[in-house]
Order: sequence, then structure tokens, then C-alpha cells
Amino acid sequence: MKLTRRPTHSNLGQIESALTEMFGKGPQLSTQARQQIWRRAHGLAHTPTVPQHHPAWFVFYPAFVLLLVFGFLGGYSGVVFASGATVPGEPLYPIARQTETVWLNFTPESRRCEVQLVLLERRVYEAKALLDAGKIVPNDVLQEIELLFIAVADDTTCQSTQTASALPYLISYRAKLAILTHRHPGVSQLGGILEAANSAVIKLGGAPLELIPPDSRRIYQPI
Amino acid sequence: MHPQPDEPALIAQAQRGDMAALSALYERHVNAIYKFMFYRTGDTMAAEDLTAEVFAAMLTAIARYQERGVPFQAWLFRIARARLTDYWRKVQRREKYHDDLTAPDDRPDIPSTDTLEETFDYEPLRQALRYLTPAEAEVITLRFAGDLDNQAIALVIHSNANAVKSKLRRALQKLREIMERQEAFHTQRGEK
Repeated sequence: MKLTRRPTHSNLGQIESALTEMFGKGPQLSTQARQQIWRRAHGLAHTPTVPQHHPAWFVFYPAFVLLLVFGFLGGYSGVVFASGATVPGEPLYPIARQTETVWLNFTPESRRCEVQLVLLERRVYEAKALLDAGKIVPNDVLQEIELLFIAVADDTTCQSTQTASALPYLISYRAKLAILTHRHPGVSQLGGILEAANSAVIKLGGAPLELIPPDSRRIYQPI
Repeated sequence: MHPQPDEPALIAQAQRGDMAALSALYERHVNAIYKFMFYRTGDTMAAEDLTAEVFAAMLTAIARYQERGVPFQAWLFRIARARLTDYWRKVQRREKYHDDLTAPDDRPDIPSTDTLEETFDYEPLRQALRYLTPAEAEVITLRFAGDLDNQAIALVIHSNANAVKSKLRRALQKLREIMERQEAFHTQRGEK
């Protein structure tokens, strides 16, 4: 079909054909993308102990105790902390950060890798939320993302028993960073962080990042 | 898409832990699942994450899979539907706390020439699809992006084939009416 005419649809058969054609021309996964998704599926399937949103109770225990303490400060703060969804600039964010520090310190060495992965996911989410809202991401958040990538790659527990589990998460966060870097070329630090993320993935045995061509991310309104 | 004749044998091998069979099943169904996720979320990143989760669930649960009238493809789409529900719940929870910060990934990047042409060709249809109810949109997506027949769709959405058939027909009629109105509007404005 050319740009010069607007298609007409006068019967159901034509509508069906148009739908078949439109959905048929939809996004196709490249071989590399298919392999990446398959590797991530394996990682997720074989690592039920690695938390992303629902950490094991003993990992979450210190946070739970603190949650009770903060409960005195108000139910709302507890709910927001539990959701892990505060972002820089919000009144409860410093409290959540302090809690994370305590949580990390209370976590046994053998479980540190899991907590670091959860924190890394939160930082990437915060950066995305702020950038998409047109706000500035504080430097300490960006630095922490970079440091967490390095820490997970250097963590011996991640390297020994947890390699298979940590890798798909790192690959996923690296992909998110790559898209953020592409979307926000003005944020110069993102390039460096992406390099650190790439090195971390390679260190854990993952494939290096292949740049996504700008036109490959076709975003449509969901239907 | 009808199940291929060798699928039961592949499933049996996969249930015994044969990685080649698991991989073959993945390759056979990944595109349909990904397309379904993409058109339901509108975001490539989320679609990839959710597709990985669907196949992770497949790897975990395939040993317990028994056909019992639910073909493998419909079983996968049932998992996909459940993951999608979790996804919307999560998105809604985040939006609840971040009304001012919510960052839906619906802002199009600068489209390539192909995308521009494609957007022009299908934009009226895409717009019309947004007027469907969620249930109608789901049936349309399962039919055209997931390539499922009425029977399989019925198994996925826990309905029956006749109900799916009439729902699909109603959705198509609704699309036709909307597009006719669009065409009349453009004709009135003198567009060709």
C-alpha cells in the first residue's frame, strides 16, 4: 500500500484481511532476540530463589522489622516502602534508602547478591521514571546503578552458585539502560553506566551488547 | 495456527527433559506469544520480559502438562494471559503511587520510512481497534496476532467456540462501522 491512498473497508472479509495483514506485519523477533529471551526464560525457570518482587522471607525480614517501626510514622509510609516504589524527590525516598542500607547490612553474605539485584532493579526503575517525567536523575542514583552492576559482577556468590540466576537479570537491566541511553542522549552518564553494565554481563558469561537500531523499537498504543 | 503433527511427540520428549525438544517448542511458539504480548502492552521491552516469563513457566510446568482437551498452544496462551494480568496489576499499582511520574512507554520514537508508511496504512484500523471493549480486543489479538482458531481462543479465555465466534463477528462489525464513519468523515473533509 502506498502513502497516496487511504484503504477502504466495506465488508467483514476486507476488515479481516486488513487485520491479518496489519498483525502479520507486526514486530518480528530477530534470532538474537529469540535466543536472549530463551536464556532469560531458563534463568527465571531455574532460579526460584532469586527474588525480583517477592524476596524470600529471611531476606526481607530486616525490612519487615523496620516496616513495623515505620508503621508508627504512618500507615501510608509503610505501604509506599513495601511497594518499593518511591523515587528521588519524594518525602519518603530518604527513609526507603536508609532502610535499604540497613537491609543490605543485615543480609547474610550468601544472600547479598539477591539483595543487590533487587536494589539494582529499583535504581533503574527510578532513573526511568524520572527521565520519562523530564526530571533530572540525581548523580548518586546513577553512580549507584554503575556500582551495583560492578558489585554484582564482582560478588563471589553471584559468580559461583548464582551465576545462572544473576545473569538474566543483568541482561534485562542492561537492555533497559540501552533504551534509556538511546532515548535520552543528553544524559552523558548513561553511556558510562551502559559500558559498566555490558562489562558486568560479559564477566558473568553473557554476550556483549549489540546496539539496537533506532527504528527497531516500534511502539504502538496497546489495544 | 493448527498444531503440527509431530507436536505430541515433541511434548513427550520435552517432558522427559530433552533440551532440543524444549527448544523446538519454544521456536515454534515464541513469535505468536511475543506478538500477543506486544499488541496487548504496546511496548517491546515489556513484551520481551513477559514472553520470557511465559516460557520460564513452560519450562517449570511442562512436566505436569497433560493435554486433556487443551492443546499445547492454548495452554501457553493461558499462561500468557495470566502473566499479562499480573503485568497490568503491577502497572496499575505503580501508577497509583506515581500519578505524576507514570511513564507509559507509548511515546513513539522517530519512525523509519517503513514505519511511517505502515502507520499511515493501518492507522485508521489501529484507531478503530481502540474503540473495542477489552474483551473484544483480546479476542481479536488472540485471533490475528496469536493466530488461534475459535476453539483454541475459547480454551484460552474459558469460553466456548460459538461465543467466541459471535464475539469475533461483533468486534469485526464494530470495526467496520467505525471505519465507515471514519471514511465518511474524511470524504466530507474532501480527503482522498
